[in-house]
Amino acid sequence: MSQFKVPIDLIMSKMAEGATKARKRATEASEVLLSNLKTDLAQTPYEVIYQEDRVKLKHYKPRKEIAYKTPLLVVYALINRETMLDLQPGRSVVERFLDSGIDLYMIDWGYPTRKDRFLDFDDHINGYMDNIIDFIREKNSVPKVNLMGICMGGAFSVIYSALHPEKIRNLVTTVTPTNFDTNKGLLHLWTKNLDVDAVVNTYGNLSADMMNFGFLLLNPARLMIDKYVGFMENMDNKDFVENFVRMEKWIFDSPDLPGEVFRQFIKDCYQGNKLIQSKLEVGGRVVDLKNITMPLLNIYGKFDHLVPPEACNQLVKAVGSKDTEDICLNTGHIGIYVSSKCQEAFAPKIASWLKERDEEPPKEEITPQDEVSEKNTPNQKAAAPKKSITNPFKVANTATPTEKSKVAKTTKSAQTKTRISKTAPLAKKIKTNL
Amino acid sequence: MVDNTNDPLGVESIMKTWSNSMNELMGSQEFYQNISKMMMFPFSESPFQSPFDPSFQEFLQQPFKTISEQSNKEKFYWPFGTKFESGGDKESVEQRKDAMAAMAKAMKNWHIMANAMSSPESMSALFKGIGALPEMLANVTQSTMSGMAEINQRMIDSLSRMGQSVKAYKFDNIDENVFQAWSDIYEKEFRKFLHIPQLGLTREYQEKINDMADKLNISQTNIAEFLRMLSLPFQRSAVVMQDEIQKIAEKGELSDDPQFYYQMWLKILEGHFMTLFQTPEYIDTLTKTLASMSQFTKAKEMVLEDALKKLPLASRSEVDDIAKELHQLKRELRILKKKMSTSGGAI
Repeated sequence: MSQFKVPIDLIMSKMAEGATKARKRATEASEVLLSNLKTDLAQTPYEVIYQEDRVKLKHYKPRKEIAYKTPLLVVYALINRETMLDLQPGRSVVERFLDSGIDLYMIDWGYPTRKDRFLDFDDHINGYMDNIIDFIREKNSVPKVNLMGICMGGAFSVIYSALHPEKIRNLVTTVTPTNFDTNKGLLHLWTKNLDVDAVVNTYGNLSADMMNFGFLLLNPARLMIDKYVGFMENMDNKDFVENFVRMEKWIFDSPDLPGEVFRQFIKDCYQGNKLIQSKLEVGGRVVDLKNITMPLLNIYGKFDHLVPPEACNQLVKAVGSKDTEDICLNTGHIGIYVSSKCQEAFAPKIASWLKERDEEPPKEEITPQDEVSEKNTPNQKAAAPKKSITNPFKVANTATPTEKSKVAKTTKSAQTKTRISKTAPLAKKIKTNL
Repeated sequence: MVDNTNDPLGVESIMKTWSNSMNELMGSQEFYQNISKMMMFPFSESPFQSPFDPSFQEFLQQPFKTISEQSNKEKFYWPFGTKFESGGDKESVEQRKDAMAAMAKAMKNWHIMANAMSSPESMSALFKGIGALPEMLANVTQSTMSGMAEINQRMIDSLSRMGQSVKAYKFDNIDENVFQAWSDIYEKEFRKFLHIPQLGLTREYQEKINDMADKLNISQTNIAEFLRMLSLPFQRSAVVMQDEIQKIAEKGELSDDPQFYYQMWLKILEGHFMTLFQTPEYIDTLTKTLASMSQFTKAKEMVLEDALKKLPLASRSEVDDIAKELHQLKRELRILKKKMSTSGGAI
C-alpha cells in the first residue's frame, strides 16, 4: 500500500477555527433568537365567508380591481395546511394571484377530530366542496368557477370535475397524483402492502405525528440531520432564522387525516390505482375522467419525491378535454410554491392561462377548421356554449327538469369544440427557465 | 366444663390453652417494650442520633402502648367474646355449644379428608401433581435457556460476519439478525404460555390482558428490528467513508476542510438510506411494525375499555358509535337537501 500523508494538523486547525467561529455565532445567535422574530404565516388579509363543520372558506381581499369574470377556488390537500401558499409577504402565491386581479377563494379544511373519522371522499367532495362551489357560484352569480387543486386537493378537484363538470370552467392541477402504478416515489412503494384497515380501525384518524414521521423518513439524512446543521450554521442570520422557523411552523402544523379518507386513498388509489382508470367510485358514482371536458392545466415537479412525475403525467391522456397542457418544472414537491424562482413563473403562468380561458367564446367563432383532432397537445382550448343561459345556477333552482337537461346538453356538446391556443411559447419558456 | 360428647376431639381444651397463651403474651409489658424499641430509630444501642422529632417517635409507639393497655383490661377468651371462666348466661352457653359443634364438625371433616389423602392412590396422585410443577418450570427454563443460547449463537455468527457483510449500498440478507431470532423463539416457545385457556368469572378479562402482553412483545420486537434497520445506513456509511478517504488520500487529495468530509458523509448516508428504503426487507419490516403497533394499541384499548366500564365514563367505542350515527344522519340530510334544491323543494 502506498504511503500517504493525512493533513491532521490542518484539519485540526480548521476545526479549531470553526469552533471559534461557532462560539462567536452562538453569541450572535442568542441575540437573534431572543429578539422579536416575525414568523407568522398567512398574513394576506382574508375573510371567512362560509363555514360548515370544521371546513371554512377563505375569501381574500382584492389588492386591485378584479380582472377575471370567473372566481378561482383553491383546494389544498388534507395533509398539512393551505398556509403554505401564503408563507410570508413577498413570498406568497396568494399575493401573486391577487396582484393579477384574480378573485381568490381558498378552502381551509381545519383540524379533523375523532368524530370526523368516518368522513370519506364522498363527504369531502360531494359534501363540503360541492356546497362551497355552489356558495361561490351563487355569491358571484356565475355558472362556473375555476378550480385549482394541490396534491391530494388536486385529486379531489379531478374527482369533483369529473362528477360535476357543469360547475367548473377551468381545472388546474398542481403536483396532483392520479396514476399510482409507479415505483418511483417511496410513498408508492411503502403503501403497496400497508395494512390500512389495521391502522384505521385502531387509530380512527391517521395522526399528524405518524404522517410527519413518515415524511421525515423519506430522507432522514437531509430532513433530520443536514437541515438542522444548516440552521446551526446560520442561526445568527435573522432573515434565515425567520424563514426557517416559518417553514418549521408550516411543516409541523399538521392536521390529522380522517381515517376513511386515508383508507380510501390507500386502498383505491395507492393500491388499486382506480382513479386514472376511471374505476374509482365516490358517493355511489363512478368517477369517469372522460367527463373532464373543461380546459386542464397540469403542473408538477421533476424532482418531486412525494408525487413523482410518473404519478402526475398520465392525467392529460385520461381526461376527455381537448384543451390540456402539461408543465414539468425543475423543482420538488414544495419548491413549486415556496421557491422564489418558481413563484415568478408558476403563479403568473396560471393567471395568464386562466385569463385566456376566462370567458367562454361566442359559439359563432367556432368553425370546423378550428377544431383540432389531435388530443393532448398543449395548444388547444375548449370552447363554451354561447347561447347557454348566462347563469345556469339560478336556472338550476327554478327551471323544470326538462329545461335543466337542455342546459346540460348544450354545455356538453359545446365543450367538445376546440380552437388553437396561444400559450405554447410561454409554457416552453417556463420549462427552459426552471 | 364442656360435655365430652359435644367435643370428641378435645377442641375445647386446645382453644382454651391457645387463648391463655395469647393472653399471657399480649398482657406482657416486656412484649410491648420490645416492639416499642423496634420502632425507635436509631436503635437504642446505636451510637447515631435519631433523625426523627421526639413527638414523631412518640407517635410511632403510641399504637403499641394502646394495645398493651387494652389487653390488660380485656382478656382473650374462647369462644371469642364470651367469658368462659365465669360461665356466662344461658344464651352465651348455647352460643358456645353451637360454635364448638361447628368446629368439631370441621375437624371431623378434615380428619376424614386427611385419611382419604393418606391412601396410597391419593398420595401417588398428589406426588405426581407436585412432580409436574418442577417439570413445567423446567420446561419454561429450558425454553428460556435454549432461546438465549440461540440468540447468543446468532450474535456470535453475526459478529463473525461483520467484516464480510458490510458492503456499500448493499442490503442483502439483512433479515439475518438477532431480532428475527428472538421473534422466532418468542413465537415458538413463549407465546403459547400467553395463550393458555383461561377459566372462570374473570376468564375474558385475563385473556384480554394476556393478548395485550402478547401484542406488546410482538410490537416491541418489530420496533426494535425497525430501529436496527434504520441504524444500518450509519454503519455502512462509516465503512464506505473510510474507503473513500483512503482513496482520496492515496491520490493525495485530502482536504483540510471538515465541511468537505461532512458533505461526503451526508451524501453517502443519503445514498444508503435511499437504497435501504427500497429493499423488500425494509418495506416488509415497516409494514409489520405498523401492523403490530396497531394490534397492540387495539389490544390495549380493549383492556382499557373494560376498566372504563366500571367508571361513569363513555368508552371510545361508544363515542365512535355515536359519531358514526351522526355521520350517517348528516349524510342523509345532505342528500335530501340536494334533492330538494334540484327539484324545487319537492322530493
